[in-house]
Amino acid sequence: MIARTKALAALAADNVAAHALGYCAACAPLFFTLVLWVAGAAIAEGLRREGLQAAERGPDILLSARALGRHVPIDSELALRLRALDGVERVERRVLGTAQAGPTQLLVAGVESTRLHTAIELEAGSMPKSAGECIIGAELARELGLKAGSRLALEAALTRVYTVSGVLRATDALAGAKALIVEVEEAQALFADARVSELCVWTRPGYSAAVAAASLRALPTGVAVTRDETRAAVSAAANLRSGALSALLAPVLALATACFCALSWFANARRGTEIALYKLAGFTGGDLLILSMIENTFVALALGSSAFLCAWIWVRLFGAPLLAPYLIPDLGLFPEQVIPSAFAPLPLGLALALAFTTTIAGSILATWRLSLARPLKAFA
Amino acid sequence: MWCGRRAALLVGGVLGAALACALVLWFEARRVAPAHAWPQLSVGLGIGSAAGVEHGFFAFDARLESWPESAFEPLPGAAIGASAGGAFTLAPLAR
Repeated sequence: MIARTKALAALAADNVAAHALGYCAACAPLFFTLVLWVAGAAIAEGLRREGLQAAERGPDILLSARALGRHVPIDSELALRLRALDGVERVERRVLGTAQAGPTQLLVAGVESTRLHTAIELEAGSMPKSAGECIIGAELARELGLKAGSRLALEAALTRVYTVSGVLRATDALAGAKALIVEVEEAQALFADARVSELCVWTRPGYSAAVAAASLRALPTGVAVTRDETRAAVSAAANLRSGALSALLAPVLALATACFCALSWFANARRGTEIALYKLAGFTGGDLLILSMIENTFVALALGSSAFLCAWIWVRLFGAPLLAPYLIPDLGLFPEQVIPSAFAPLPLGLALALAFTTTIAGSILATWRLSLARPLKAFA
Repeated sequence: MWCGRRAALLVGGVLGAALACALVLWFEARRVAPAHAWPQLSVGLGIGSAAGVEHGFFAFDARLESWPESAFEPLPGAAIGASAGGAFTLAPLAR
């Protein structure tokens, strides 16, 4: 039995190798669909991991305010009051807003000065040393052609000129890729508003963030989000993103399967002659089905693994050009920012399974029907 | 045993691709995510901000938010930190 299977495997390998070009043509649509799907799944997983990492190291509670069903700025003085309370270890203010730099709209993030002046590793330049200095994300630097030492005029409520003191690394958090970061007070001055977007609250050990959040929600218009809720939201967003991509690619995959079946049909006459010869040589119907299955296994292994490798090269080595802006709003077609991604065994397994089911579905019925036909009919 | 050189090439190619996939997975499993200057910054920029949580998206969501100035009502200061009878107290946190 083993010897027979080995002989069939050898024959199957020879068959596939002999018609390699035909298989390549039939599998091409499926290959491109699988590359897209594996790359998209890897980016969605990378975004999930980066989001969860941020949630893990972020505050216990994010406090913001709401009016008329929308988020509104919160009183900056609230931070001082919260800091004085038992159970609160640290409160940081944040300002998030948009400003114009010429025709480009960019994100301005105001963070606490202690955080901004903490030395971190930058792509170029150094941390801001005065109020008129800022650091910017790698993608923003590329878009606006800025580098450390460049000057930049920002228009919001006021027009202010900043000197770029440093540029974040391209491998840094994606969320800061197109941001300009200044001190909270500087952002407040830029927007001519003494309020902040949100407060980040860290609770002391022994105090429950969930209970604190429940208390904070009792504030009028108070919106408190705990770390667990952040984690759940990040996961939900990642699922939504990968689900949307899969839903988009499902009809494409169906089309690729139909394409494989149609292109396989063109080889039907040749296949009929081959099968007739095998039958004359003493092959049974079962042998022919096993032969077809082994051929498809070779094709599926080559197809699935090469799609996985190409997706990896596309995302990891080239930075997912053309695909990244579909999954991450605001990125260019050829982003400078390194796109977070994670290649897990599951997408590889699914790619192999999809390749196998598609190729087997496209050929097994034809093989079975041909194996039932009289051998001489094929030579008629 | 193999029928020909082409078949041997095919099997070699398939095994090579499978090996390359295994190497990629091994590399990925051992890969350490690049350290971010401020992991918390991502939260502030929308990953976990109230806006980001609400939209279910994670980057650049803050840009989509507009703050209607006329809708803003200042938070009542009296409610903050009032441990007795106020709307806000952390007293229930004490264990």
